[in-house]
Amino acid sequence: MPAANESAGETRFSVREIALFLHALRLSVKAQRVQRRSLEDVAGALVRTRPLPRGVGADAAARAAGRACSRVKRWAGGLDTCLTRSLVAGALLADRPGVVLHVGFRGQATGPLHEGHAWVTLDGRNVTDARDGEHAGPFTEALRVPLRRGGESRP
Amino acid sequence: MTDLAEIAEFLRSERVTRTALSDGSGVVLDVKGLAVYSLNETGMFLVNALCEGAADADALVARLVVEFEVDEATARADVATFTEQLAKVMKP
Repeated sequence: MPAANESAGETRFSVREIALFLHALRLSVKAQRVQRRSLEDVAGALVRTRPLPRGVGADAAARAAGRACSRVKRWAGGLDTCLTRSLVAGALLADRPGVVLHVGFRGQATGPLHEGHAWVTLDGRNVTDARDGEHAGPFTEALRVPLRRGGESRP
Repeated sequence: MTDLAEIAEFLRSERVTRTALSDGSGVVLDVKGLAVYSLNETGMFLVNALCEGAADADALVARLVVEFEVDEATARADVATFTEQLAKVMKP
């Protein structure tokens, strides 16, 4: 997928990127249900969403998820968290096998006792944290939810 | 009031994951109830003891006394606080 062209402060997106963003936006609105329903139920609903594109690149999916979740937060006061971004990115990638949503925890030296994090792997590679090193440290996995269109999402 | 048997049943159920961290603390994640319980070393020890079959408060107190070398009164107070707090946040 072509990257966004940036010149003189202007960002332009390809038609394909815009279409992907719109899919991600729809998914990120649905992902807000994670505040009221179980992760398993929400993940299942997201992968059953129709229509969704096929063959989306992992980086493009993560970028689109980030953009969509930030817009939902800005426009509607929704959640923009690692969990909502991971749900959206995972659903965009779930036309192929090997997509897993992870939830993990680690101790913290200051503040709350533990920090939680959610991320998505594709064939074992972390695709949602690939672009920033913020969460590079180890999290102990507490839950994994395989995401697959046409299948069920169960921990 | 929720008793220890109910708490143990909840902790052992499929809706719950228990994650022990390297410092002895841990996290209990209630997948269906959308809740995260962050536990210090003592709390995690008690959760594990319940899941391993400690049937009542006396059994938990006995384990705490041995593991953390505290007196029985302290252990009993810890168990009572733990039970009360966990019962308060548990969702059916």
